[in-house]
Amino acid sequence: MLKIITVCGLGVGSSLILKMTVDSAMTQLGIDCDIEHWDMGTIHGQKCDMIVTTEGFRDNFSEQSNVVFINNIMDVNEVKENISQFLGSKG
Amino acid sequence: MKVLDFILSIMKTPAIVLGLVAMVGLILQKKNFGKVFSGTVKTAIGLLILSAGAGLLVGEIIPFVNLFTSVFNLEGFATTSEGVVGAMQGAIPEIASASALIMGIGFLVNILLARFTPLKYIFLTGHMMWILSVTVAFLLYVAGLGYTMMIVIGSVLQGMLMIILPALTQPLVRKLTGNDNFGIAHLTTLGTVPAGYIGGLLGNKEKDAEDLKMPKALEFFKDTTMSIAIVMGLFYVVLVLLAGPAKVAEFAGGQNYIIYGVLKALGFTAGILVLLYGVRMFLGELVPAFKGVSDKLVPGAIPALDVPALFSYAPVSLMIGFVTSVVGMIVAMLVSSLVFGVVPLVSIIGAFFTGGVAGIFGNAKGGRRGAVIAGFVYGFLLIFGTAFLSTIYDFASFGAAGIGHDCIDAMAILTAFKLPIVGFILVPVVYVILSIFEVRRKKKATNAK
Repeated sequence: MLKIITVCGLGVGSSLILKMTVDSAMTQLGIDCDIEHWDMGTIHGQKCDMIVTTEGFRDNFSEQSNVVFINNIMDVNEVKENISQFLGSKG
Repeated sequence: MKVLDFILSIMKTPAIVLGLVAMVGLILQKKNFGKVFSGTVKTAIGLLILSAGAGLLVGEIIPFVNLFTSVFNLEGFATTSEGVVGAMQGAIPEIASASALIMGIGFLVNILLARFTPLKYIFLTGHMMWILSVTVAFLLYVAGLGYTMMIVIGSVLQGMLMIILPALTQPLVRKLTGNDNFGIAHLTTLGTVPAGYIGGLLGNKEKDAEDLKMPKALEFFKDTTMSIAIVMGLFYVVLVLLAGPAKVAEFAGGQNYIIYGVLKALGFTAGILVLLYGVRMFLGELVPAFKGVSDKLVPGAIPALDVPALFSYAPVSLMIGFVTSVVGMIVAMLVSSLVFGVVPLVSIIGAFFTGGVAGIFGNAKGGRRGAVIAGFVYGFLLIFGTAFLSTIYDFASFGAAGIGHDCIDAMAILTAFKLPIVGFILVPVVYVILSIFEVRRKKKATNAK
């Protein structure tokens, strides 16, 4: 089961909306996953397969390679595409 | 009668009520039994964690308040709306249970109003919905309403406000994003929107803030744990230094006074983080449930989201708004001490998230000067407003000692309803006016085609 964490600043607002969008996207892609939502302060201690967050945090994750960046947290298609690309490049 | 009593006592436990709401939402979304069960239990547990966090942060800030009074002879308090409502919920059972029902039924009212009136916003920012529900429960409790009336009237108020606030923000959001794909659901509308317009009046639209470059150092504040720890650390350490080891020993016992100050600041941060963890857990199932229902029942709904949805449109303005709102807050701290004798502390989270939005709106209307002015005005309003609010309400007697609100809309609502009849007339009137404007705007748009 793929473990995904959505991240935003405070951990309660945007990350939750993003979590719902990722949930819809993953259902459409037919991939089983476990999704949690956390904040920037605590994410670095968490283990997961993929982090999904917004473009604004690109610099904060410069040292990691398992992050997918999204522009519009309500756009299921953008999430689907970006996640597919990410999973494809992982082989 | 025993069965009725049992049902009533269930309804009075917020953890159970919201757990049930989540359960219904999960069932409607056709999740399997395992997910329904765990989601329901997690919602209930989240509320309990939240209360624990609130208790912790109040405990850590009390020494600050007392030391502040003994050093300055003024009342100082930390500003966090989440802390205030979390503490209130933990202290007063009627407010806790009423707010849970108000939150659940209020959302249904939001959906009904969005379906049948010209204003189509669905308020999706969970923690703001929660703060609003406790605020509404609190003001009706203070107004002396009976429990059932609290819930009926509270739910209608909640639903109306959940549409009014995004509706007030939408003209600026539309200007920024160019469309109505989403709105903004937050409890700082009555600060950020006027600040944005003032920035527009006094600013220069030609000079866009986004053409400027931003210092990297400010990126640091995106980590809220560190932001709170540093700001509270500064305030606490300065205070214990001014108070001196003797005074601090009254609270610290044998511990070194500076170490005590640092530990209290970290403890306060820990309390906020525990509270947020609880909020995150209890909203985790609730908000998707709400959204699921609204997707089915309101075609053409406009999702109203948390403020970061705007950040990518104007990141430099965000930082400008953040910095200038901190300045505005500090100035207001001084002014409040003179005018009201109270000193609310800077809300660093408020400065970043919502001072930043003021900056974004200010830039949209008035360029970089607009952003600077909007941020400053917003920061000033926030601190001055919460100082004023503390003089007309005694939050400490409701469990929230040493803390005050940092959400301007909560402050405005509480002030308007101090004389309840004012609020009861104002809210529906505003709703009707906004509906009329929206109908007119749509007509103009279709005529222009």
